[in-house]
Amino acid sequence: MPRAPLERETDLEPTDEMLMTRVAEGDLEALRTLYERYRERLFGFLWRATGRPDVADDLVQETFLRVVSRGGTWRPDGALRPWIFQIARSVLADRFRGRESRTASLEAVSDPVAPTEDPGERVDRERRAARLRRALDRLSVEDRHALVLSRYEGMRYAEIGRVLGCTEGAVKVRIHRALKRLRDHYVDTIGGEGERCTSNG
Amino acid sequence: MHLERLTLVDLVTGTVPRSDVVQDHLATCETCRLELATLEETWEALGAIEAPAPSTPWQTAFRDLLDALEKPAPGPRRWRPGRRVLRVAAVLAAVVLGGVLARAMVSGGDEEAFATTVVEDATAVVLRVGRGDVRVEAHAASFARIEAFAAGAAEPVPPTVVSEVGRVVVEHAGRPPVRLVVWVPRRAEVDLRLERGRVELAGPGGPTLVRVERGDVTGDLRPSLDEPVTVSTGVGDIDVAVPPDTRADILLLCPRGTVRTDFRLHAGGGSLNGGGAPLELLASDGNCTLRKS
Repeated sequence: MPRAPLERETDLEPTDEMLMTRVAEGDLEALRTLYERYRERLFGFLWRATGRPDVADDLVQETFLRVVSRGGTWRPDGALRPWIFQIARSVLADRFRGRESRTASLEAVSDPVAPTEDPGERVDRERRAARLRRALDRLSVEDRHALVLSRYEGMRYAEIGRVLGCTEGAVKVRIHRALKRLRDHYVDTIGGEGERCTSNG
Repeated sequence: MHLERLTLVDLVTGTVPRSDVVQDHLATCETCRLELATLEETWEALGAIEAPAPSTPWQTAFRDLLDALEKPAPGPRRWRPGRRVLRVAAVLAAVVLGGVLARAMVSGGDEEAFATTVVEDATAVVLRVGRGDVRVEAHAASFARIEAFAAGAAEPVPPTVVSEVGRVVVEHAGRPPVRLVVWVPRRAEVDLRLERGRVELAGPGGPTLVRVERGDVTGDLRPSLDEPVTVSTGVGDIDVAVPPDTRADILLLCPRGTVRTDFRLHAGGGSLNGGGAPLELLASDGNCTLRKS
């Protein structure tokens, strides 16, 4: 028996796509692994979309319910990540159809805080984050999702294009527009305070 | 002539590195330099929006998900684990096995092994077996010993054993089915995948991963405080024992079966004796029993 193929097989973690194929066949362990891999990422995306951890938690579960129920339509030759985020977007759209999609501002949410952080710095950081969130809220859904998937998920343009149903070029245009408008909105939110949009203060 | 906005986006997102041409242009064009700096500043500022961690522990959330999957719901939601596995296994059982394997005992007994391999200083034992029964027996020595017994009348085929730097890989396609008794050092890592057959565990205490597609897992484990243990079956029961003073974070999942335990745990698991490494029993289509040894 040749050594190399066996070692490759035993050393490598299954890809997301392999796991999804097994999930479609009813494999509980594969579902568990996929859930572990995607839960926090979907939570982050959905929290940034809703501003509420409880709603994001709920939507993550709904997304996975759909992932399982649509397992029969999964095509193993595709990439899983865009497929799952496409489903998450669809869950989000269904939940907030006909309603204002943002239900809470960032002020209502406690961010993780470094234990050594100075209280004053913490207040500044939270204030800055809240303003950015409000600015992000004012973007169109498509622009916001393009930016969030690129900035926080590290997705490539082609993947984002599959999630949003548009070309790579259109994704870049959306990201560019989102950044420009985000900047403008952010400046609006700080009004005359003279604060600049910077990462460190 | 300025940089195109799509080029600026590539630079901001780090999709392409700054070429000499771009650098030269930025050095001489203040408009593009400022435009890029503004976009980068905004991009970096987004780092201030940190997502909180989900409030529910993932194991609890996963159990909730399984509950929801099992609830009758309109449309195609209901999930039926292992349907395809069952179909395939039924055909294979009729054509290939003829029921010989299921009645065989896992232990070697007085029968003589037709193939034996010993590997000194084994730290990890990986087993990939098609059809057969496997007993994993932990011992205090540092070697691994692999004994193969014929499971039926057919001409037996020995397993392939490859070892490298303490890692032992045992492979047997299961044609014809085989019975393996594998002695492993107490704290060695065990990674066992079996398509069809039974697994008997006798005291492994290292990182342990056992996956059986169709068949039962029985025996006892001695989990250490910091080594994870996962035992899972596609179609089959799990019935294992651990010492009463085991410290572990237990997860017991069998959405189509029954959980039984004589430990003080919730149905889905929980912390045992203050908690420790994960100890997970997952039966997609079967029962889970966790006993005190």
